[in-house]
Amino acid sequence: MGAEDSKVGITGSPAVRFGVYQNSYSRKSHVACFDVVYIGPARVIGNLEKAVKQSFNWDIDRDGRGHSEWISQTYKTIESAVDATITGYKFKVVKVPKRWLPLTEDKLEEFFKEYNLN
Amino acid sequence: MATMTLMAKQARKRKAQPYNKKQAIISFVNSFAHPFDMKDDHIDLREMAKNFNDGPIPVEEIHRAIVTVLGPAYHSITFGVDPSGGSYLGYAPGKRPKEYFDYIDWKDLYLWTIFQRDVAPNHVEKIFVDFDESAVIVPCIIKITIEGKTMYCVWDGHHTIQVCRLKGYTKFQAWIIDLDQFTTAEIENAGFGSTDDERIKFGCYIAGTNMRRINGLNKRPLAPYDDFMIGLETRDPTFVAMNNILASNGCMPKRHASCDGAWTQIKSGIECYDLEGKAGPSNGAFWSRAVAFQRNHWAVGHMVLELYRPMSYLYAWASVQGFKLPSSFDTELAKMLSNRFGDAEEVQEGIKESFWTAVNNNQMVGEQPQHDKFRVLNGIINFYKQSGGKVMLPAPTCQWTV
Repeated sequence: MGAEDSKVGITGSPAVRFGVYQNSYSRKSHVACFDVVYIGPARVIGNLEKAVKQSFNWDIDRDGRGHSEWISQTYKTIESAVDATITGYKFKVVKVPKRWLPLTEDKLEEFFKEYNLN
Repeated sequence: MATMTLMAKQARKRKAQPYNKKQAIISFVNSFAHPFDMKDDHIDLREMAKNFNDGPIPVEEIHRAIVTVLGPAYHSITFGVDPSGGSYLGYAPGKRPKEYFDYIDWKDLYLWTIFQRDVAPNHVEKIFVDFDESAVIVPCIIKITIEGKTMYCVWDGHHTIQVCRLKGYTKFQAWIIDLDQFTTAEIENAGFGSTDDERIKFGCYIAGTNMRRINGLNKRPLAPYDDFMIGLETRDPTFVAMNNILASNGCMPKRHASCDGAWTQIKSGIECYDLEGKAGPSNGAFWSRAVAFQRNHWAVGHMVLELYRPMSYLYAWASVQGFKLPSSFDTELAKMLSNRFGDAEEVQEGIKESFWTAVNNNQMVGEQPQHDKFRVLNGIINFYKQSGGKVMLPAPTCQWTV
């Protein structure tokens, strides 16, 4: 979709989030997906998000509605930074293995079954 | 020869009556026609003013009331401090501005309850004990002429003035608004009439509005963080020691938990620093170990209050009760906690969650702690034992399955 920027955020409803991301583009031009995924209890994931956004504070170009969560970094860069954050803080989360990635709406049902998510 | 000696019976010395605060207050209030409350934290000046036709009260009368409450230690004052050093602040005739600086004699100072709050003797005493003449903030006063008599009525800094009086001041520095210099047009433009009575009402309006502006609307209390940083910069020994402890653990005081190592809970940190052990004051020993406990085992993150505070208390309890907690205990406990909960914030959140679950299911035994620090502290002790820890710890005050 142009720039290599990435979006970092949390969701309790991936299907809804995919819908939001897919809303403005036809699947023929872009399929909404998650390139890197971590799973964990809501509170822990919330704290992880806080820590990640804290460390990327100045790389998040614009805050507020319509702009939030976009970071001017490739997802590869962000992935290693998030991994380092998880190790440093000892966040108890699970990193989803590559075979599921990029995660799209098509794989969600199977993915939920695998990880016992509702 | 017999001698008869007559000895005059010595008059019995009358014992000085010990000071009795209640009796002293009753006696003082009885010297006025209209009674009013006098307590440590307030003297009811509005009721007291009824003895002065609801007009300005000479501050000397309020001073007498204050020392009555404070007791004999404040009864003898040596006068002689003139902060003006005898200087005369002359203004060219007709050139003195409406607002100006001057030194005012004690006898000319008044307080008008229309625009001033009650006085608190215990607050006067608090400032008195910590008094330093280089720290006197200039009180604000409005100069009002009532029936030909000039009165300097304080609208801000009355406690300061009373403390200066106790320190023997004879003159008082003041920032003055001169009501007499306002033109009738200015007063009318503000919505008041042109009579002398209306002029006084206008003066009260200015003083009251300013009093509320300064003490209410625009008052910004000193945040604990700013207090700490100023204390640190000005070499307060406790704050310097605390900062050294933080720095040696890669931490720093911050207003917000916005970076790795940020320590934000200033008052709670001081509470931990001040904890006492078996040998007396710990001088931060327990807090230092607690900070290291988090930093050594959770390499990244801001300082988590309900981790370092309960741990400080655990070390303090252990010291008081004569337990030795080897350094290997810290490593063992941290490993148990991170295996179970993960990050440091989740440790305290998870323990508190288990506490409330136990309370709600009536599965907690013992007295329910009223503060999070003791909930987490008890949780840590319970958790350690339930996880197979072998080091002897102080007994928890309540028990549940964490």
